[in-house]
Amino acid sequence: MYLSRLIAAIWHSDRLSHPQRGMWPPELYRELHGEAVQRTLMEICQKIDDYNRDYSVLAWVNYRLKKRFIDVVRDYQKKGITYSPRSQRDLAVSMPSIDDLDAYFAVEDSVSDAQLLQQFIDDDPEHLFRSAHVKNRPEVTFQALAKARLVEQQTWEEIASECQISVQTLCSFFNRRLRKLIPYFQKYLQS
Amino acid sequence: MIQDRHADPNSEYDSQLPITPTVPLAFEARAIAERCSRGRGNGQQAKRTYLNVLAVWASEFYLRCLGFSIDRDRTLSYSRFAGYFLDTADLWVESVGRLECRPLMPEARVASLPLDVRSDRLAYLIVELAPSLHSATLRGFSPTPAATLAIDELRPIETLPGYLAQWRVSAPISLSAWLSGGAIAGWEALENLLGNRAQLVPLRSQPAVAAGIGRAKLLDIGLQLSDRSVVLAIAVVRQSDDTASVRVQLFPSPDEASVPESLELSMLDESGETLQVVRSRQQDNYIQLRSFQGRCGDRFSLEVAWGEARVRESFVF
Repeated sequence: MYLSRLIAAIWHSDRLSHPQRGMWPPELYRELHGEAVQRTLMEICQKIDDYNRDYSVLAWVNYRLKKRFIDVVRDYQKKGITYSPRSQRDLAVSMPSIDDLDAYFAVEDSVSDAQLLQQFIDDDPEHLFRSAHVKNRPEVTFQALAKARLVEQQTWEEIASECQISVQTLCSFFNRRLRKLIPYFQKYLQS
Repeated sequence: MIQDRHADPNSEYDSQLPITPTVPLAFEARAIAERCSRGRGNGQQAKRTYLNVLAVWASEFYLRCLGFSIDRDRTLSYSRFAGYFLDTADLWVESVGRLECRPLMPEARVASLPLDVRSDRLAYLIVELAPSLHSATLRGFSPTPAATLAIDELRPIETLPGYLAQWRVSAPISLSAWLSGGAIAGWEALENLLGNRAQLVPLRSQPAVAAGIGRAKLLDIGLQLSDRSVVLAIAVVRQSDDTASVRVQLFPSPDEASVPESLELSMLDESGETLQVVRSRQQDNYIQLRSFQGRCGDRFSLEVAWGEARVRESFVF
């Protein structure tokens, strides 16, 4: 697929322009530039027919990149972040690396809205969790499976063994039901 | 149409670059991953969701660049709730179906698929994440699930659009239009393709209010070296003003005696869920589904699958 090469080429190119580089702290600039490159890529893919062969690909890309960079800066500033050369806290969104993730999510072990979710599954105001069940097994309801996963933290093998139903059947049933029940979750839990 | 840039004298990049697209992961990707993983109450689960969403987002970006549309509302990965129950990295591609986009740790050569996701997906993409998480590279895909997928054995990403195209649901065929005498290209009267083999059993019980209609289509199915054809036959009988009954049978092509072995005929509902499936054995003269009814406006699809090859036809009552 030709676009794959184009995307790879642009992303790996060391001849992409770097507008306003001196005006931003390096960490922040990297994110702004990355976002701009991404928007430019999408734009190029959608407007590939506009490309005029008389101009070089790179010139065309850089022209668009400069405009997208301005858009990114504007969107970023709308979020009310002030420029400070010394601080990484300026980043509106955190950018942990893979190695940072364990520490980054360590706080999760004491925070949870799983309580709300558990309550909702028990309450099941419209009886949708209770009424959905594996074919020919009315006791193996979506509600029972959801609780096994959420509260008991059981693996699919454990549940399959307890219910005497194959993992395949359980996962397939659960995937399909969950897909249809997402609006139900959103209706009652969206905050 | 995309011009061939290899012929462009101004081409300023190396055409030998590997075709494994690398997608930058910037603010939007991170913000979505953050939203989906916060408040989880379990650090390991939160981390897992964070990485899953980045892989999904990268795949979405790539597919959108290629002109596919994504339905985020039908994508479980982006919901706040799905991650509590399933280790899912799915993505819903409009008019096509659900894909899985598994994250791969940097330089890993084997991806593993959790039990949660080894079904109900059309393809499994493997997305290698950079250690910094500033970018993700689509390494390839597999049409079928397995406990583990070796990177070296994946199909190249550039064949993905072609693979997805065979699943694309075209405009549904209107059964009401057929009943009113309309014709659709490719579908013929039963006798034309089946001759005296037309064994469509009269639909049981309800007396037909008006005469039914039978149509058949010759389908090419199979991989390049072993192309086969089968005849998909449908009989529709009106039951009342707005309901009809449908019977579906599958016959071998006119010059063969039996249906290929291990061929599957399925009926799927609007969302792609399989409601019925029947599989051929050796020497079957035909196979059929149980008859079913629908109301004006109801949609369903019929799928004929043989090995990895599939043909799907969609209908509306």
